[in-house]
Amino acid sequence: MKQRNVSIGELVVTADKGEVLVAVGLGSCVGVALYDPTSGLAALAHVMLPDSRGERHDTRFADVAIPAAVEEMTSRGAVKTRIRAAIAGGAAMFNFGPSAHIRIGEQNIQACTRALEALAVPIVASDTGGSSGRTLSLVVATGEVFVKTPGSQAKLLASLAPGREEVAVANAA
Amino acid sequence: MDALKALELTARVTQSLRQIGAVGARGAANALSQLTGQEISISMPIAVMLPLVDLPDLFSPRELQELCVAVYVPFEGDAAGSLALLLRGDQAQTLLSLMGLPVEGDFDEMHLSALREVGNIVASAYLNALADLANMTILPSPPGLAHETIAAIIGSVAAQAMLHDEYGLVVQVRMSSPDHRLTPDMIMLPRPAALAAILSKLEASLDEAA
Repeated sequence: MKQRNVSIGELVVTADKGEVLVAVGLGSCVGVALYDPTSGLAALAHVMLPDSRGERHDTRFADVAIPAAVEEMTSRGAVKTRIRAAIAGGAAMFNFGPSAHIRIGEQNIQACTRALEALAVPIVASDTGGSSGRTLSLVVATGEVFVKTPGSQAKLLASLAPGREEVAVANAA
Repeated sequence: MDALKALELTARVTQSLRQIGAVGARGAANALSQLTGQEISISMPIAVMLPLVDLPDLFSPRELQELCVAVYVPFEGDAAGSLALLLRGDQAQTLLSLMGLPVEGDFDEMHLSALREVGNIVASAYLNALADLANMTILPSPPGLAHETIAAIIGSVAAQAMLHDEYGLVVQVRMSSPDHRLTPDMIMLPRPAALAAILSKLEASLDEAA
């Protein structure tokens, strides 16, 4: 499988099953992985800042990147109600003493959560906050999301493709 | 601030910024030299203005994935901005062992506290040298410390700066011990709004000196 790097402030939408989308070095940034299991469309946004204040249409900002991701996915055949999300990042990178330093990481997490809620996209799993940087990978073929911190192995955070049982329950309902 | 978008650094301004970086770095290198008992030299500084979102491009993709110990010092006063000392790979261990604090396994509280203090001393030396040169008051904040990939550190530094500015000035310099086991990078991000003030004060003091 081919790794495709999603650099800082970037948004990538793809249905290429040969790809793994990777956001390397999420410090105060937040990686937002979106997946529609039926169409196989996947998106990864490497969000840098919380709020564009409506001034710039720019995927560095949570309030722009997340709606843009969902819009592009649906325009390419995804169904909004099927999209599920996992997020990671938003660390307070520098361990300051008792200082009034602005916590961008925390603001980024809140902004991403708000933007996803506004679109009614469920957050299946999250690994946020703390002081560790993270690398998030989204396997397009399976919808699996992995998170890695320095000096440790990648861990499965979530599978954004529902398992069979979950599908059965959904059908019954 | 939009006017600054169009600001291209002229050769003259670039030269002045590199001079500023060299003076600051010499101050920092002296401090580091006293802490480690090693002679520390400095490279010719690089000065660029770039969109802050492109800050990670100062490093190669491979470097971005390297672990590094970073001390981050925001500063205010006549010029505001931030300064970061980056110790890549196992340089933090090298530095600590030169200071008589060898590391076996992970850093403990004492190591982290020592690294923070080193960062504080070196960054203060840099900023003091700069303040003296330009006859300005610069007030460093308490340092923040991180042990992370360069990508995570630089991304966070850029995000912090982007709360104020779209574009950033970067003055980067590498220090080096004679055996090249210790090659810390210092990256200064003065806020562009302070550029005019720094340059006018700098030119005034250079004229005096001449």
